[in-house]
Amino acid sequence: MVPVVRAGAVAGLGALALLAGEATAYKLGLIAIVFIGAIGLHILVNWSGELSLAHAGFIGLPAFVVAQLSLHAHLSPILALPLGVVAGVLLGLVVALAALRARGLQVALVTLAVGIAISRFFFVRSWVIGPPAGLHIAPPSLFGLRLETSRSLLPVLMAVVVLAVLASRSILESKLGRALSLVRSNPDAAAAVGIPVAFYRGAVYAMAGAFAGLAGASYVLWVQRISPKAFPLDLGFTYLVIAVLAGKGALTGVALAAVLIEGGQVFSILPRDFALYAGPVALIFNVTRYQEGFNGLLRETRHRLERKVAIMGAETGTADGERRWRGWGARGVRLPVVIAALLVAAGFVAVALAWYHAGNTDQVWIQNQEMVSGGIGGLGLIVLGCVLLLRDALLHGRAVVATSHTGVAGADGDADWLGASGPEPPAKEPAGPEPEGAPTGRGRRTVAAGSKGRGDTR
Amino acid sequence: MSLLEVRDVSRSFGGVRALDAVSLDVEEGSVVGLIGPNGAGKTTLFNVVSGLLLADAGSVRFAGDEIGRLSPHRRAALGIGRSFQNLGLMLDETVAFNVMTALHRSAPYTGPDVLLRPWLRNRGDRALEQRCAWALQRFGLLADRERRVRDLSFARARFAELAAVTAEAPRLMLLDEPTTGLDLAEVSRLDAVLGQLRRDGTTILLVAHDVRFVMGVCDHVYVLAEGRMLAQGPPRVVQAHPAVVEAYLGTPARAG
Ligand SMILES: Nc1ncnc2c1ncn2[C@@H]1O[C@H](COP(=O)(O)OP(=O)(O)OP(=O)(O)O)[C@@H](O)[C@H]1O
Ligand SMILES: [Mg+2]
Repeated sequence: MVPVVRAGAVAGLGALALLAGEATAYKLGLIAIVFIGAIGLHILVNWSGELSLAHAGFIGLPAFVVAQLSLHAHLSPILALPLGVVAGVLLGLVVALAALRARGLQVALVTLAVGIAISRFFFVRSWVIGPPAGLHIAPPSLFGLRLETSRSLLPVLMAVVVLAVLASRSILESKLGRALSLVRSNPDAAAAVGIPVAFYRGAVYAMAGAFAGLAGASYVLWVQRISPKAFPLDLGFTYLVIAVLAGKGALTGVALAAVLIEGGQVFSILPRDFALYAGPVALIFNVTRYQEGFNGLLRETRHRLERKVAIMGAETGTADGERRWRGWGARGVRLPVVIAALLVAAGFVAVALAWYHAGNTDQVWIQNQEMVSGGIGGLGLIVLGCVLLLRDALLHGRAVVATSHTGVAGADGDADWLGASGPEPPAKEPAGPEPEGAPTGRGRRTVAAGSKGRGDTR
Repeated sequence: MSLLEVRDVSRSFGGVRALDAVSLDVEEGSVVGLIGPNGAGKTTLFNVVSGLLLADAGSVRFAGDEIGRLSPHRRAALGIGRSFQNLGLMLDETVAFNVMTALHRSAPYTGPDVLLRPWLRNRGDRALEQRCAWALQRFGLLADRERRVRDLSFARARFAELAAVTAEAPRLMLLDEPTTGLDLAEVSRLDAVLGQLRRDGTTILLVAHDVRFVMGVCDHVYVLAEGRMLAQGPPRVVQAHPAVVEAYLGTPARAG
């Protein structure tokens, strides 16, 4: 259920963004870039408990690297994106070397020093920042297509965002993310389970640098005119505020915080200095309480909803035993889902094409045609696909939630560990810790049931 | 040759001599107990063996190799697993997440695979979940899998940590006060699980204040007091040792 709602929300936002006007599209892009950069700090601060006040430099320096390269080597900034990532990683490794020798407050000071050094040393050299007016890049092109407008570039930026989101989710939802959170909350325990603590502390700066570098390169791609004014030292604090507001957990919190802080500024909803004033307050609030942020809020809301659903389910007596809300992802792929997904994708392609054509012509009648066929038609496809997905989720997402969520600490069958039910021992183990008296036939039959119940643990 | 050989290990904190020329042997496949009053140096000895502390003097050998200078994660890789007196868990994470984290070394994919070959991560983590479920079920924690450790009773949280240690199936398991905070039923369950582990060939060194439990489950018992090894031997012998009776067992049997 939750994954469907989230996918629907993201798809809807994407569709809306594709319909935006030129100025709005430009601002949305700026928010997306801040989001990419904030992912790096999110991993660093919220998952690993490290700190960096040099994030402005982490974004700015790779941006200049990419800008200089595309100016002098005539490299399209789109193709230079990976170079931005590389520059960010190198920068992260340098900071890691310094930060690894420090702890707590010292780390803050070290990274602050790096941030100051970058802005005082690099951001004044003309071989880095170019002429005083700043560097101007030619509008990027891709496969011969010239992407002059923000609207035509938006799909490219969206692809970069999707890539960044997929990469960071892969990291956080793997052994890397788990290791980072144990290093953060208990380094001794981490070392004792075989996690090389120092290595991970260093690697996380490189990861933060990678996302910052990607954000810097995307900035070049998007704005095409950069000067050091775009990366003032206090930008690092703004990013820190975003990370702290997001809180430990998924990227949803980061997205919300980025939209609030950066969106509030580019759309002038919030006063310009909001982040500067709200920052310290948010920091104090989060440091004194447990660092929950938006993600904590979302978790809490979700738990409450799940509990309510579970209680409702228990009252109507629909299911017993292990209960769990399961999204459609948990039960293999079905035809309606595939069709719906294809419809959504086709809709996006239609809108994007319409946009590209409409953006690159000044003939009103062509634009109108594109509006009707691509814009409205594409939107229709997207809406239809989302409705199908939602219908599927409602039909098949049975209300089944782990007993713990019913609020009753479930009677935890004392006999189950003797092997009557539950999953098979791992095949890897040589002398398999086979529970005594477990008839193998029975153990095997329950494997399917056991593995089916474990759809989306996290 | 014993699996673990600790020879004349000393370790001081400022003026406090927490360990003073301590020696200890753990035979492969045995369950060895370590008892002693508060502040005797039991946890310090565990830290020296698992690598969180370096000894000032003496040697630690594991499976014949000197490991006294290795970093803790290397010792874990050799097959030394441990639990902590004050829980080495992330309290704000779920039980399953904690156990999965403890299975770090068993993950059948490398760091770069996460980005380059994500399907390996999917498959690998699914295998780990299987193993995690198996370990949790051993301690009757399957139903609590998705609950945060913070929301569990202390005894259940303790079991969650033991599940995390056993899931990794280390060659030598160091358990620091696994019985503290458990009621009688839970202690007997722990007893049964330890019996199973021993039958699977796991070697266990454990610290406990519950003397009856130690005497029941261990093949060999060491008594530590004020950093020095006071006595050792089979439970029966140690129980009758005059110095031990005076220093430790003189207090009621379930001193804590
Ligand atoms: N990191 C440390 N810094 C300073 N002193 C320490 C440290 N660790 C242990 N000590 C001291 O070393 C001595 C032994 O402590 P240790 O924790 O090993 O005892 P223990 O036998 O585990 O006791 P308990 O039964 O209370 O767990 C104590 O006097 C303690 O104060
Ligand atoms: Mg202790």
